[in-house]
Amino acid sequence: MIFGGAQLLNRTSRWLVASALTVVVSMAQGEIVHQQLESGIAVNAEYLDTDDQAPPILILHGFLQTRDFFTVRRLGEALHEAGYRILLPNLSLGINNRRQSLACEAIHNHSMEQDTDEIALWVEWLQKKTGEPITLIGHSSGSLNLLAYLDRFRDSPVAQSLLISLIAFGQGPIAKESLEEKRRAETDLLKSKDTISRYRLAYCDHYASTAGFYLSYLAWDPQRVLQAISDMNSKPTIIFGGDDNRLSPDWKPRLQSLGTHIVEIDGANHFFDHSHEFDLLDSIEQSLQKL
Amino acid sequence: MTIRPKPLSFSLFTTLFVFLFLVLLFTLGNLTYMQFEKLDDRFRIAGEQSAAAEIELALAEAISLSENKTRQLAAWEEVRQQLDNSTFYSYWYRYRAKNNQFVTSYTRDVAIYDNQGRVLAPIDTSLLPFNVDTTSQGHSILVRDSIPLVLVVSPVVDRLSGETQGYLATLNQLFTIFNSLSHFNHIERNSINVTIADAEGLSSQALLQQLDYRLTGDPYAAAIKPLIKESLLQLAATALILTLFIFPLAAWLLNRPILQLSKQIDMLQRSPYSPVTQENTKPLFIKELDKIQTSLYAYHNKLSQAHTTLDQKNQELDDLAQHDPLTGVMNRRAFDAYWREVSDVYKHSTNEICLILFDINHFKALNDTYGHHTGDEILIAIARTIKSILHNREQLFRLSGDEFATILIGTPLRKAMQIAKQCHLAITNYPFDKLGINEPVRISIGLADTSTDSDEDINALQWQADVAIHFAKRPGYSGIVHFKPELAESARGLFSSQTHSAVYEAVTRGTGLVMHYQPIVDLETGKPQYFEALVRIDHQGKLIMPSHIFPLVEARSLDQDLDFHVIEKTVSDLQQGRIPTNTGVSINISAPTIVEKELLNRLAAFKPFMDNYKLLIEVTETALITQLQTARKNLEILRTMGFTIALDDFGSGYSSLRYLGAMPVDVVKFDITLTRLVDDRANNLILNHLAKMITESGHLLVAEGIETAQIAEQLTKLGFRYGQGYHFGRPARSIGNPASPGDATKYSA
Repeated sequence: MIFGGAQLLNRTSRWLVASALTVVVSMAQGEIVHQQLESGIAVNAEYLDTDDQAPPILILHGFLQTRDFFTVRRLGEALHEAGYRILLPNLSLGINNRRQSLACEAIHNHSMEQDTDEIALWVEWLQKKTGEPITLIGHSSGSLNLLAYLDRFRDSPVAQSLLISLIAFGQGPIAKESLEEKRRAETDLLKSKDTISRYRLAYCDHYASTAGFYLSYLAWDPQRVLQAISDMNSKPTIIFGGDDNRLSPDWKPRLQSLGTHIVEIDGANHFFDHSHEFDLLDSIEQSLQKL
Repeated sequence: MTIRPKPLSFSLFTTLFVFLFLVLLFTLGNLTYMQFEKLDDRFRIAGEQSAAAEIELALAEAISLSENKTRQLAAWEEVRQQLDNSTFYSYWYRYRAKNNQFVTSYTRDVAIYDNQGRVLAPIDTSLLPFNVDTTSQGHSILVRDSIPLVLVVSPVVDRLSGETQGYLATLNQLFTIFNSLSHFNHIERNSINVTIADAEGLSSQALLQQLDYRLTGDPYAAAIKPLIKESLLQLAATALILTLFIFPLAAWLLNRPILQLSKQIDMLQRSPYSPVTQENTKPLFIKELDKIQTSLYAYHNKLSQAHTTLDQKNQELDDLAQHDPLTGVMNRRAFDAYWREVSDVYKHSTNEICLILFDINHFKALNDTYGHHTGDEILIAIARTIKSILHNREQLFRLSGDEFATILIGTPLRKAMQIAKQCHLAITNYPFDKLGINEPVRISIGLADTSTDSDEDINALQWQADVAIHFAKRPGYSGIVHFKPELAESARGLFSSQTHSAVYEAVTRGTGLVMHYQPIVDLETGKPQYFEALVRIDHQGKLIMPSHIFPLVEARSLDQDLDFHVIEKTVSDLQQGRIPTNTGVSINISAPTIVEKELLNRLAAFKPFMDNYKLLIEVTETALITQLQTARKNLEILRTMGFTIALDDFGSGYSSLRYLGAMPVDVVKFDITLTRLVDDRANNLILNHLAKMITESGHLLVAEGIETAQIAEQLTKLGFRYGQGYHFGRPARSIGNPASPGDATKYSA
């Protein structure tokens, strides 16, 4: 999607103003919400409330990151400024009340199922909080987490999902995981489910985790993703960067073939940094306004 | 009396200066080095203090750093993750505990403890204890294998509940932290070590006591110390070079020229009056010294030249002082000096000494008549003439205005007389008429020599010569007189001081002045016609004669005083009736008085006697030649007043018929020298014609010096009307009385 220069400038100005105000507002109105999982682990999310009646939105961060990752943070604050109630949860990744991003080499004592449970917890919280259907926005593996959630919780009160830079494990030119790694994990799992091993996942060369937890993520390969989307009644809107080098060439066509609404922003990479943040915001707002 | 210190030589001064310079240099260098050592000590102490402060600060910083890092690590979520689930603690300890962003190179070990202080899982290789004291958190210091370590225990707090979940301990290598600190300025970082091998629970101060290290030292001091040492050595080397090389060179450049100058000054002092040249002197390489040398020579030569000039001037001055500038002959001063030498020589020698005095006759009259210029030419001519006779064998001296002298040594009297005669003749024959002088110029010569038997010393020669020349001037002498003792006898009175005083008193005040009268008689009748008043001085009962009076009068120019007193005395005598009436009286008036106006006033005193007395005024020929016009005018007035004018001493040497024609003269008195010619037949004829001529011109003739009747008779025949002489009467105070004893002497008036 190509935007005119004047329009870009206009958006840019609004984005800059919104960003500046967001910091102030978020500091004034940002609320850290804690919940405790059944495992006893506390999870937290930041809720950006507003008096406007725009739909509530849950925005989920990417792989091993937190809500403070810039793509997510700026998107959340911009939408909050635009009148949306925003919930920015941190997946616990097995760590009590996690606030920090997690290194590849750290012990990853978490699984895709735990992640979807946490998403469900927060969707429920937000729905209760707002009493309205939820819009889900994820970035990268966060989009995959949301897709897994939607696939698992088909009756969830989700009105729309916007999946930014949606990936699948074992997809794309830089994906570290491989079939051999999967088999090794499967073998390890057979040996002991409580043994920590170092695997390769996403961009991590030494992803320390148990085989079961590792495989829970690895299960979400492209086929699994396509299947999940295919099974969805309300197809998600998927936004890609035109220059996202983490995607295989056939990924977008395959997704598009499933009837999903694909938005591609020219020149943007996987993280939509620099001026592409504005394009991303415009694109999301346009999608939201369609509701 | 001030004691002047003995000056030191330049060489000694130079040596002392160099010695003092070296001592000063050495002292200064030593003081500088000592100051530097003090400064170095001060730097070292300051460095030690700074190092102590630095190591203490570094230790505190290291502990603080360890605590901060431990606290950061305790806040790491993975730590809390292990406290929540320590299942994989061993894996975490192995792969994550010391491999994360919160640990550094100095973190030797990390351990997590539960809230009871027990380690989550015992690790064999762990350096940390299995249990920590939860009541004493913070840091403690221990030493293991001589490696100091900082043990830090920090609580792990649940962010949500605020409760302590457990504890995190780190073991930090102190020296590694030190190495990471970049602000060691006073300590060599790698030199820090601990002096004990193992210890537990040390405090910071306890550890500081056990730390050993090496100071880096002050870099400035470290850098400057060798420089100062090097500088001092260079200074010493320079001083040595100065002493060994430059000083001799400087001494050669300064000392040698100054010594050379000193020697040259000595040399110049040895020959102060000789000009010197600088050509042979060694060159001086120092401009100022060379200038001094050049100036020295220049000043010396100028001084020598000035001295020479001064000598010449002195010589000229001496010549001027010793010579008469007019005639060129030696003067009175030279005579006196020469006389002293002669006197000294005479004491030790038998050589005859002869003093000859020359005196110009009537020079004053000549000078007054023809002027000083002519008088000077007369003196010059006479001096040259006499010198030509002397042939430079003897010096000629001008003693006074018209008096010359010469001293002959070893010359016999006969020869001396011959020289005197030659001089006299040469003067007599000298053509003074070329000088416009009509009258003959004559000189009188007096000689005195040591051959004369006399007990008096050589100094008596001057008096003797004076006596001789006095007689030489007198009539009857040839003009050349050699002193003899008998002359001295008659001259005693002449030159006695008593006589001198009496004459002066009489002439100036009239005291003792008396008039004697000599008759002038009619040769045919033999009766006195008038009387000539002749001056005498009555001194202590003795008469002083004119021969003693007139030299003083002429010498002191007392002519007018004498004349006026004579007038006064004569008038007095007339008043007293000492002169017979119907006769007359004549008085002699000198030449200077003739031209005085006052004379007329004084002569007016004779007026009362004009009727009864014939009054005559006698003037000498010499008187007539001075101020001729004035004299003639006064004489004419006197004639008008009734006085008869008589020309005295006619023919005595200055006679001139010119005067006779020009002057208002009534009577002509022939001089005794003319009167004596009457005995000579040839001259008698001339005298006869001369008398006849004068008589026919209207003048009355009076002959002086008539001593016999025969002469009186002959003169009468020659036409002389009147006569005067001893034949008719001697001068006497009382007319008619016999002459006084003094008048018996053949003195001429």
